[in-house]
Amino acid sequence: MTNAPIPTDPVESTRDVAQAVYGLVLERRQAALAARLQKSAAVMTGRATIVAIGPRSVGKSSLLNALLDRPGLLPVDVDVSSNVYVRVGFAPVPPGATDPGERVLVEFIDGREPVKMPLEQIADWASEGGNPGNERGVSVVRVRLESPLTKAGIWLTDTPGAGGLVAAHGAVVRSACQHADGLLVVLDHMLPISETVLEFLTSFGEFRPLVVFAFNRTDVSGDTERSIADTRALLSAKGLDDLAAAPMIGTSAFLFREAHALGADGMPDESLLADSGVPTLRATLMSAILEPTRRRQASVLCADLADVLATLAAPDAGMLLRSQDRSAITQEAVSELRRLQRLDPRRELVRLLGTLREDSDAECRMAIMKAMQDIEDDVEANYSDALRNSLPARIEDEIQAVWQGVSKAMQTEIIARAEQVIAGIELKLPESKLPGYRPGKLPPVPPLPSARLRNGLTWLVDLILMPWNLLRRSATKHQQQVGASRASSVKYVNRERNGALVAAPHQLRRDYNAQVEQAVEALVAARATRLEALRAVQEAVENPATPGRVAAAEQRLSVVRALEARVRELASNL
Amino acid sequence: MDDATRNRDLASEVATLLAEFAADRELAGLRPHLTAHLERLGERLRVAVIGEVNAGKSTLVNALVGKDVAETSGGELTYVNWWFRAGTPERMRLRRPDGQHDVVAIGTCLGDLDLGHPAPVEIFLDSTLLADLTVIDTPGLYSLRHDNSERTRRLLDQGRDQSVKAAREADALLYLTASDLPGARDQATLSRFTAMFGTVRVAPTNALMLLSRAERRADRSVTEDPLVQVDALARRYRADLFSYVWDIAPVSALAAALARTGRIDDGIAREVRALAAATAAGPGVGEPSPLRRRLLLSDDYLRSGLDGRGMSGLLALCDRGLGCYEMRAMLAAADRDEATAARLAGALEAASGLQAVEDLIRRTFADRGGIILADAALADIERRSYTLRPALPRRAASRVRARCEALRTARPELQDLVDARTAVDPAVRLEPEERSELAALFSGESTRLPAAEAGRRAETWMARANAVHTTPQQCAIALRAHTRYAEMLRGDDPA
Repeated sequence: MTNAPIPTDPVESTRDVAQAVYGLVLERRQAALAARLQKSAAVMTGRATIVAIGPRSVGKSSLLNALLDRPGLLPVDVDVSSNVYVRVGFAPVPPGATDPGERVLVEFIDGREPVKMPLEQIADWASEGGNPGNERGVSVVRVRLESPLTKAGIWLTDTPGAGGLVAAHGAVVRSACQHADGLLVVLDHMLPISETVLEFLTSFGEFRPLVVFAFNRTDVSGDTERSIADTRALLSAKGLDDLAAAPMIGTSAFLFREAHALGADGMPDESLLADSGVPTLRATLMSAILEPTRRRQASVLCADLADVLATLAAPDAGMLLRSQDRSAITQEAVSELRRLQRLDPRRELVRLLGTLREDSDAECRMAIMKAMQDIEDDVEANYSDALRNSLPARIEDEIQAVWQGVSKAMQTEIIARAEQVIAGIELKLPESKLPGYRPGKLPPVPPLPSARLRNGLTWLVDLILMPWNLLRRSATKHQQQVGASRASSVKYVNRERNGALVAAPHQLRRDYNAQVEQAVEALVAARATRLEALRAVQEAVENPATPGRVAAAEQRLSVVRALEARVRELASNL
Repeated sequence: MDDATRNRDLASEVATLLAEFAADRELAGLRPHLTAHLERLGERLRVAVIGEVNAGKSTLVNALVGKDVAETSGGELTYVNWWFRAGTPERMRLRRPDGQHDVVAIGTCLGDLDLGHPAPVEIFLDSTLLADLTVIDTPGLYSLRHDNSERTRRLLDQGRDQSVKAAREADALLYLTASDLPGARDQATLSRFTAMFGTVRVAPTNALMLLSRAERRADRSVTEDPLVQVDALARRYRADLFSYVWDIAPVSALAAALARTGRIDDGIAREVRALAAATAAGPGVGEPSPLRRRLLLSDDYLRSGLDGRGMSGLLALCDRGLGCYEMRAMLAAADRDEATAARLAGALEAASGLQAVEDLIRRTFADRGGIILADAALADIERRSYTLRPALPRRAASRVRARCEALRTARPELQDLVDARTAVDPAVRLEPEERSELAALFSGESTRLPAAEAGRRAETWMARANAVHTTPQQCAIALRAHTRYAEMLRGDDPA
């Protein structure tokens, strides 16, 4: 009986192969490899984080409500409505847990114990009405919600409407987007993309997440087709051909609601639903963001699997090599082993980094001084109620922007130096003579330059929502401190500047240590892989090869080779 | 005697003074400026409507003067300034490149624009608003759309130049914007305003800001009247823009133009009645029927619904800007009682917010026309009495200033205008609360206070004037506030 191969999802197959490799690793009792596999498998979540951005009052929150099919979930208002980050996702509840399926978890900027509550209470925490000026000090509202979209693996983040995409606040939003898998850019359908949004999108450089545009509020008069055509023309005129080719969809949350209201027998009106563009947008998010993200995750895992399999194959391959050509194993391999054993990745990295931390520290202080001076000048020149009320949030934004800018520059530098160290770890022996040796570097996987280092640095995803703890306090308390006059506002700015200058070195040291630690971990793993290969060579030199041993090695090797072939095939499909 | 008449008297008083100066042989150096001001004082106040391309400036002006003028005269002519003046018979006057004038009937197609000679088109109309004001409709400062054709770009550039020119020639400005309001948490609220309108400025006491397309900013999922929603938004931001504009109001220019330009005739009224009858009666009381709800989903649904019912009159209006917002207002009116053309137009007007805008324009510009012109003339002559020094003998110059000062003392409303302007000037660095208080005090918006309160405030301002870090400007304005409250206390408040 012959069966045609069942066409399967390459992402699912990768998971299966990973499972098989993990089984093999356990069987061979390789604890270090097992731990490594567990870690890289965690990267493959099968989820895509999508951040909704756009100018204020274009109906981001209403559109997200429509996408999730939950009218009234996120607060909506004619003015700025949402004022904190709201992340909506879904994780299956473990069987037997007492936790209800859907709930809201409110996290606070001062690190207080998060609060759980039912969905209906989001507005009390996340809207300008319920929580004016974020006086309750919310850092993020996490919503667990069961909807087709979240169950498929799309996690949506709503960004605060206030502050816009310019200046320091824009920088904070940008870093929220930097590590997302996709951006949902919501625009008013009446006009093409504005300079502000365009500038915001180009500022990502090469590490821009995937983008889908929604031209919202098509129910209000305006020419959607023309806006979309103009946007594409404008983007290609600026040489942003990938953005010009991004999906652009006209949507209307209002029509979506009305489709449900005007439908018969509890079913929505099909033609209205299609006109609302929401189903199309859902499908596009799946095909243009979720699917590529899952494939990318799978290809990162594949690269790791190939690495692990090569390490597994090394001893047996060494054995076989020796049985074929004893002279191939030279003294050179042994001296290379000694060199690698002597090489301490941490010491090497720290040596290359030199005075990076001190330099970043100085740079951060300078940037804070300058930003605060600008604010102070502004207070002196344009003092008004609005300016005074916006001071705490603005200072907060400025400091966050400075910190993230410096921290990111520091990270780039650390990754560059780590790659230098990795180059030293690469073996200098001819490739053919070294079992288990694979040309070290994998092709770079965006958004981080080195796939190897990227895995270790995924913690940055949460960075934006982890505030500058030493400085942040609740907005009300701040508001009281500002005082009601120009002079006291200037005093407040100065006090905040001094606070930030004191906090900056601590904060940066924390970031620096964490980032170096991540890099060192990746380097140590790389060195271990190569040492493993060399030890296999050494062992092969020392132990006599009997026919029985060779046969056993051949058998073990064939299992690994079979898996390697599958991984190669998968990687080429991804 | 009402405000308008009193202010016109004031203008003629200033004119007399300037004429006296003009006759003075020692003041020969001032004469050209005096003549110019005398001419202006005889004219009506010029109000220029400024905003981005497509903000609805022409539509609004059409609604204000009650006549469709611009659209019948060739598309590109919206790239020149249109001056709307009072006059009969109603006619248009154009200047040819050779300097001659052509007078044609309103509605004549003027053809395409000669880019080399952008001259304003003058429209003479018989309208109540124009009896007090001259309105200048401008091409627009910038376009929110990106247009790449060479001709369009040239037209846009020229439009910007023309708009700036009109603003320079005007005494008062009406800023109109269809884009978003600068918000409180947006950084540097005021710089956003500057980004929108650039350097096109007049004293904030002579400027208003209108939010056009008010209906499309509102949240459609709530039942509250869209105009009320946007008005609340405008109130919230009024104080933030105090040093730029005196007040902010929402308007739906399209609805206003439909209501005011005679588009709603008996044929339309018949169709609206039929449509209201066909889509009446919802499932619950006060709820629209599914049929009507579907009709009013969006402009496209409205159009196809009208098409399906063969309502050609309404369909033709759709091309003139009739949308679901306007249709909803008319249908609601038809539900209430017998829908005559006049009643429907009334319902549209009520939905457009035009009445409130007209009130605001009358209060801010028409009634104060005389005082704004008089103040501008006095201020300019005073300034020149310093700058024209070699041509003007020192003694003569100080006599001019003394006479101007004397006139201000005799007519305190002139001094009040100067003080109100100082109060909202950001350079004077007052606290926001002080600023609002002074603006209300000097504009006559504040109600008469009880004696005790007035006395307390008079003392507070005296103390403020004597405080250690007070700048000369702050001191001067604080003393003025003290005087005003003291007058109130004595009960000889002129207002």
